[in-house]
Amino acid sequence: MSCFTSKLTLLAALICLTGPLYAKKKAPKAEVPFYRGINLGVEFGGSAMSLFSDSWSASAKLDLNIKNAYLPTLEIGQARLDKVGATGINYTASGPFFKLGLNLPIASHGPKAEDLFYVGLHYGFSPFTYQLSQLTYSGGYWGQPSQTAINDQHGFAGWADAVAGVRVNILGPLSLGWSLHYRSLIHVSDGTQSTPAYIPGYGQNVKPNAAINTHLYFRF
Amino acid sequence: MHTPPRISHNTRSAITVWMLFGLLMTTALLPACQSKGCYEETDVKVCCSFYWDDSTAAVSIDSLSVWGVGKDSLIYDNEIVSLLELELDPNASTTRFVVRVVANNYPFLDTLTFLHTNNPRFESMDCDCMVFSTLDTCLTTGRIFLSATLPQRSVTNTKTTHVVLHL
Repeated sequence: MSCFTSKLTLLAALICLTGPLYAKKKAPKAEVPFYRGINLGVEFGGSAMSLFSDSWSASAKLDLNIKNAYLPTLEIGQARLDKVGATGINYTASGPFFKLGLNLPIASHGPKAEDLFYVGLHYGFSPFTYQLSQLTYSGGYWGQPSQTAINDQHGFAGWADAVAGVRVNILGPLSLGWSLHYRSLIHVSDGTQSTPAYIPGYGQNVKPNAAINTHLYFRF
Repeated sequence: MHTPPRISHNTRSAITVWMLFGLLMTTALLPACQSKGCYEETDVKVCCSFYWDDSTAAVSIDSLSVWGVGKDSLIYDNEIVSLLELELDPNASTTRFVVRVVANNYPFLDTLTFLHTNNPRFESMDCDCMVFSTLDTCLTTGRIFLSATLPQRSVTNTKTTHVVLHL
């Protein structure tokens, strides 16, 4: 099964199986106050994964709970990659990333939607820098392979990020959650001598891309 | 107004189960997203077409041989050629080729001299680096090719006519 198909199947399964939760639990309408709090989420999966991979990322996001029905979200993060490829190329990249979007609860529990299952759509963007070393090029007809480096490359990328996630209250104002992200690049600018292989906040420069985030939330 | 339904503790347990399910599924599936090879065109060659001065159509040349100055191996060996594809030296700013054409059993020799600047180009982690070039000029000795013009100075991995050689 291809990567694309695998991710599509997973997302479809999540959405389809969420349906019954929504259908079975029709609640009587009640007036819900406009402001239901702010959640600060800190992403810790990226830091944990850096123990096992070449990349590191950390981010924090704020979501505003409006009537337990709308969760506008702002996320700010930083990511970097230091990777040696199969051909010996050493690629380093780093930069901040920003995401803006809206999450909609599909199902929720608690007066302030402490537990919820949501979907959302976000726009992410990142201005980043990267450099490459140990770049080998063939001498072809003229001789032996040589090595070079490409430094001081700058890129800018923007992407759409479809999200499905869960947040569960674990203790007092603390919640834990994961979210599955299905991303597709909208625009990406190349460096002067290269195409970026990695985009902070997005991942590998492939379209589409998928990722999972894990967050620890604090509810204000 | 979008109002999400409230859910019971049983459903909360279901959400917890979903949380674990999602973690397991994505952990299992994410490693499948590693890229698996170089799909870029990595061939970078300067392409030369041949034109008679009074002709608007490119022509081919019979019995053409080409080798690099200072090299032993032939790039073209007595072939019929309509588009000459030549690799520039990625470690030099001047690349020279000897062109030999046999006509009426008599060999005519010319030397093509390319002056160029080289720029390493990175496309993907799975591909080796390429070296693109910008042509400054192309010189001939006039024995086969009267002159050369450069419709496309940028030599990349896209195949197009970079040099027109006038016969």
